[in-house]
Amino acid sequence: MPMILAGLPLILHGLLVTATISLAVLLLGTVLGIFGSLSLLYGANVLRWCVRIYVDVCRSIPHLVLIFAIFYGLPALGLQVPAIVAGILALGLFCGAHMSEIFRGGVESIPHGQMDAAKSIGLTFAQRLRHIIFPQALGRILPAWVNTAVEIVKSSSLVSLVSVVDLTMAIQQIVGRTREALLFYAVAAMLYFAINFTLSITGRRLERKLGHG
Amino acid sequence: MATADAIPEVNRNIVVLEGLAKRFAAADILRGVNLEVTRGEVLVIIGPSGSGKTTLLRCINFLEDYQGGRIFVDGELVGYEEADGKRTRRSDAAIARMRADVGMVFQSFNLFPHMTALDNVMLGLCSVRKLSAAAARCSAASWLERVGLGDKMAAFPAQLSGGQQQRVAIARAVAMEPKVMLFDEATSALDPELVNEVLGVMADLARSGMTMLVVTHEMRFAREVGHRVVFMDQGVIVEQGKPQQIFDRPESDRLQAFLGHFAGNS
Amino acid sequence: MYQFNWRPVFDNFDLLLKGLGLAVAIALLSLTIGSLIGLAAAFGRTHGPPPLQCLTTAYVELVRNIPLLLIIYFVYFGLPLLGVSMLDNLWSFVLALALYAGAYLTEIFRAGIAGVGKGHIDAARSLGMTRLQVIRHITLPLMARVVLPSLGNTLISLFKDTSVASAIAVPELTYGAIRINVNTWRVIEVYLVVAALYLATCYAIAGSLRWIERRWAIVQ
Repeated sequence: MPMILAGLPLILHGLLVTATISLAVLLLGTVLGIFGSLSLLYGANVLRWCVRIYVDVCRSIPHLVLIFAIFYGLPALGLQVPAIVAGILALGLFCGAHMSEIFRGGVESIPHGQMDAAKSIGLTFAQRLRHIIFPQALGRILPAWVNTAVEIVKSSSLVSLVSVVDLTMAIQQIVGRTREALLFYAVAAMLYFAINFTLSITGRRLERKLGHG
Repeated sequence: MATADAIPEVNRNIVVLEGLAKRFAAADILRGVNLEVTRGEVLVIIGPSGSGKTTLLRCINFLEDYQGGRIFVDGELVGYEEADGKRTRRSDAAIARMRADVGMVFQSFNLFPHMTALDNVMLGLCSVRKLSAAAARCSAASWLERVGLGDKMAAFPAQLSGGQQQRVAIARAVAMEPKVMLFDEATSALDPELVNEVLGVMADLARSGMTMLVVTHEMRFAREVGHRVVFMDQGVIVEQGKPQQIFDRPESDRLQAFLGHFAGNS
Repeated sequence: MYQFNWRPVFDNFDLLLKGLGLAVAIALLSLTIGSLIGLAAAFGRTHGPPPLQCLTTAYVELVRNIPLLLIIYFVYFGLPLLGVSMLDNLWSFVLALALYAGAYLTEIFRAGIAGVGKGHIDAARSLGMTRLQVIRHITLPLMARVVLPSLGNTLISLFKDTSVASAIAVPELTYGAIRINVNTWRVIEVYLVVAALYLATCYAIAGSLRWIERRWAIVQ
């Protein structure tokens, strides 16, 4: 127990970094997802193909490859970025691809007849998005969004491989010093589990509140 | 309708179709339709499935685009601008403005499931007609009372029967005070015992002077409420005339064959 | 301006191909072992006594909420401390990935079992088949066709997850990229090539799966 207390500051630091990265990635991913899904749904052909290629590429390469590519690649092109930024950028691109598909699916699941009715009372595109599409799509998108958030928290551990001191790296450093691998891996597991399990429960509760129609 | 009396008789014809033609996926759905609908007229459109009746209605409020001919609603060309013989599609905002003046009721009601009946009717009044929330609520409530659903204003569509949902849909469309109302087989998806409550509302609307284009299989409604009946087949108008003329003395073979299916229904 | 030089990458192409082969092999192996775990856990959840149900639920919920990297570290660095020291880095990774896959596969198989129509089960039982016979002749075959698409998607995911094995120096494709990068500093070229290899392989796997599905499809 005293060993855990000794490692606590580093663990908390790692936890904070993991939380920051996860939030930043989710934000970036959600914004990219909104643009991506609108492009896939309503964009001109060229735009739709570009987003399609972006989504399909992200679905076919490992997260770690993009993290390394950006982390080592940007300096080679002359752009010095801190490792944490490279990590957020890479994971954000993946998240954006994922979100584009989720948002697109949510909108497409709204019956087409409602679009006809909304158009026929004279609502503009923006009004249809605001009053008809968004409220209904939200309830359908939320579970998938929360699942993606959980995946992001897990993927954030990969930034430890480019030497960012997140929770996983913090635990590795403590294990390196104290050799108490089992204890601290268990601590890390419990922390990750606590975060993700809470996310899932919150998601399920929100889904129940928003889930009508 | 208040609007019909207030506007001077600049255009006697609310809806004019000139040689309307529409193609979809290598098939000609409408092959040159000419039609004039006068203010206050109740026009009933009958015909076999695939004749283009629904597409005709959907072109009038530009839910479908069209390749040939012209559609005028109250003198304005629908969906396109013409300059120097070139036709360009109007902006989204202009099309939306036109649609606000054309009300449509659908076979599958298409109520917004996440809103109460009152909110369904209020949405257009607030967002499109730009009424204040209070004025919109007042108007919406009175329209729902008019269609007999004053006690169901706070109900969600899932809690209403098919007939009730369709009456809310009618209220939603009529509350916008459109120049013309389009009914696309409004009772075809209803259980038989619910059909009359909706037809009653439609008849009431007709009596108040609303211009209506009604696609329907309800021949008795056509006879009792319609001013003119139009028979369509394979994308063209084959025959038209007063109800008694069409039903009792059909001239064309195709109309006679079509009416034969409805023996005992009118 | 960055000068492109593809030679060093293609001189070491055999390293990348070997890594790719290893990655595919690891993915298939982990899928197999993970499926055994998943099947056992799925049947434990649906047919087993309450303590077993609790255990499998705990396993699934735990593994699905923690990062793969942590599981790898636990198996590679932690198991030896418990006396299990015969696993080298490759087999540690295979085990870790199998445990990770098993949690997801449990849910896939559970849905597959639930998807077998009760009518079929009733008919089999009324013929006098024991529970085990029903599982062997009815549940498993019907379930197999239903879960095949999900298994395919899992295989593709596992193939991408093999990249994390580079963290413990398993010589798969990403590790090959790291080594070439460290030796030649042709960053953009090597990662473009490696990305293309992952992409091509994913499409190849997906295509093969569609071919298998078509051959194996039954009319429902």
